[in-house]
Amino acid sequence: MTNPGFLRRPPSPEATIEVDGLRKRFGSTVALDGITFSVPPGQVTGFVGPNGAGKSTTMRVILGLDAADAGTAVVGGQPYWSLRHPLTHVGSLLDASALQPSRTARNHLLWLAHSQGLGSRRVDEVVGVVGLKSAIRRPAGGFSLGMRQRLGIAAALLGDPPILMLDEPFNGMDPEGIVWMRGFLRALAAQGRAVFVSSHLMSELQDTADHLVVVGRGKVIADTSVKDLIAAASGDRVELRTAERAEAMKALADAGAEVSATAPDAVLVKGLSAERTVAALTAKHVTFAEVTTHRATLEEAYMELTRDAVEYRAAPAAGEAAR
Amino acid sequence: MTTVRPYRSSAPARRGDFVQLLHAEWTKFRTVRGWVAGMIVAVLVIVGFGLFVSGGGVKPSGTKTGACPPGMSSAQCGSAAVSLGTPENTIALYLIGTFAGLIVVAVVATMFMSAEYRRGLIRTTLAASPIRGRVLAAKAIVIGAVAFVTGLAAAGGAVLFATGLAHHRGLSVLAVRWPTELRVIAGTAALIAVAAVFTLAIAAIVRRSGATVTIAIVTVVFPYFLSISNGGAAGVTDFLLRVTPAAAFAVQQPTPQYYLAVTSPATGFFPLAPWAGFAVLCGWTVLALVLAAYLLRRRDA
Repeated sequence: MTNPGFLRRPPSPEATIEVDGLRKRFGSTVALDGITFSVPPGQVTGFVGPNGAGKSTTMRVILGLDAADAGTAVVGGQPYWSLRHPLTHVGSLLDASALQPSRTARNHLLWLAHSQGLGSRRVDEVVGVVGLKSAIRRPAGGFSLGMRQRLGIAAALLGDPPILMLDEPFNGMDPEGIVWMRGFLRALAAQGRAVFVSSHLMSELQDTADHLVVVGRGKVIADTSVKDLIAAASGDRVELRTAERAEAMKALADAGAEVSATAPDAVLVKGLSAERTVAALTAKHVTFAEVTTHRATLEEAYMELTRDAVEYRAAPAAGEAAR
Repeated sequence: MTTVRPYRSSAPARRGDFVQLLHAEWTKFRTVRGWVAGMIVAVLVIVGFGLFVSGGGVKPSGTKTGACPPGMSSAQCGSAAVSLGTPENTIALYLIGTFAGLIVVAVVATMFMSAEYRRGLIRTTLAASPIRGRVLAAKAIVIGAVAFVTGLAAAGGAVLFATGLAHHRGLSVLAVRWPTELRVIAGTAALIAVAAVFTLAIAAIVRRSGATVTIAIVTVVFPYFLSISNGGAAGVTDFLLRVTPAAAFAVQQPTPQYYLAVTSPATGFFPLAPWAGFAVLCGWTVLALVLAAYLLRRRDA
């Protein structure tokens, strides 16, 4: 929809974020417990974890807003505070609702531009890119969350930075906005920028992120490419559809598989390949309609990873507990 | 870290950067309609009070010499009153609305800082300019300059229009020489400007608008108000007008020598000399700014 190719600066080799051993506690709560990762240029790096895992705190430390008790965070090899005109190095969006409600959206961008020595022409450019032209002279207080996210993206792009860091940019966006945001983030990364995006919903990052840093309880649980993560979570599982469920489960259990019923006519098989599953069923003359190798979604992979790291969890629903 | 760039290669900030920061803070101020309106209201309030007292809203003060202030012999006191005759009004009386205008300015100065905390906008501000002391300095300069212009318009307008109205009604106004008149007007503007900076610093310290406005009113306006309304024991108000930021109202004293029947700031009596009183406010403001800068740099945003 929008081509961010207007951005003038060529991709910079300094487009990296490096975080090393960050620790921070708020009173008795450990917010960051030795967070280490790096964000390379030219990719969308997803930063995922349950609420309260330390994502926002990490981002605030990177921006020098919160002080870490230990560890370092550098952008392009330098601590954030030492950057002159920092918005031309790192564009960030922490909280889209951090706006003076009575100030117009355009004036919000204008003071930010002035602080970096930029003029109103640059403001009009970024407004066009995020598709806010028609609303830009309205008070930002009347904006929906989706519009505020777009305004926040515009603010992050003001300085045409090689690094973009966005905290939950999909929050409050409508489906069309989410599709736009995905394409936009990918396009920014394709220009050689480092794009670092947090989310508590893995599904939002499906088809967007190349790399994932998964955190839980202040620790990095996984630092991996999306491909590897899905492959690991898919494991050795086979899905089976059959009218003779009971017979099929018995036959497969006898063959050494771990089986579980997932629907009246469906069985999940662990520990057997698809070929061996078919062979075991054929040997016992059990008929079946379909055998497929299970491929985990990003969401499943994530649930697997963060199972022990979720801070607040509801008791399992009654039906699930009875199963 | 694999980079070979020196630690602070881009750090040496140019002087122009601070001008950009001032530009940004000024843009922030002028783009909130309520704040600009607040400053206009402050001018109207001060001028309005001046017109009210000169237009007959307040009876001319009594002509009999009353009690002498502490530290002045009755002979001195009597001769001062006699030598000056019995002027009905002074230009200080026309600035009686300063306290009300000051409250409005203090509210705006508070919002200029505390609104950033309330909305979380302070993070955007500090991400754009990470050297936090400079942000505070820029904010203080902008609110100080705006409040000074506001005070100048208000005090100048009040003295000009109220004097004109009094003459029109045939009332005599205590004549003061033009340097004194200038000092009273510019001093009032400076009082409002520095009080605004003081309030901004308090807002940066407590980060809450309600608490900030309360502190500003209690320390800057209340002691003065107590003395003009004769609400407290003379010794107490006298002490408060020496040590609290309200001492700065002394800049409105038309002349340090003369002495009127009613020993109150409304008729031009203050325990401290004009610029000494103003220096007390400046002292408090420097203290508040230093504490604000320390906390701003130390606390998580």
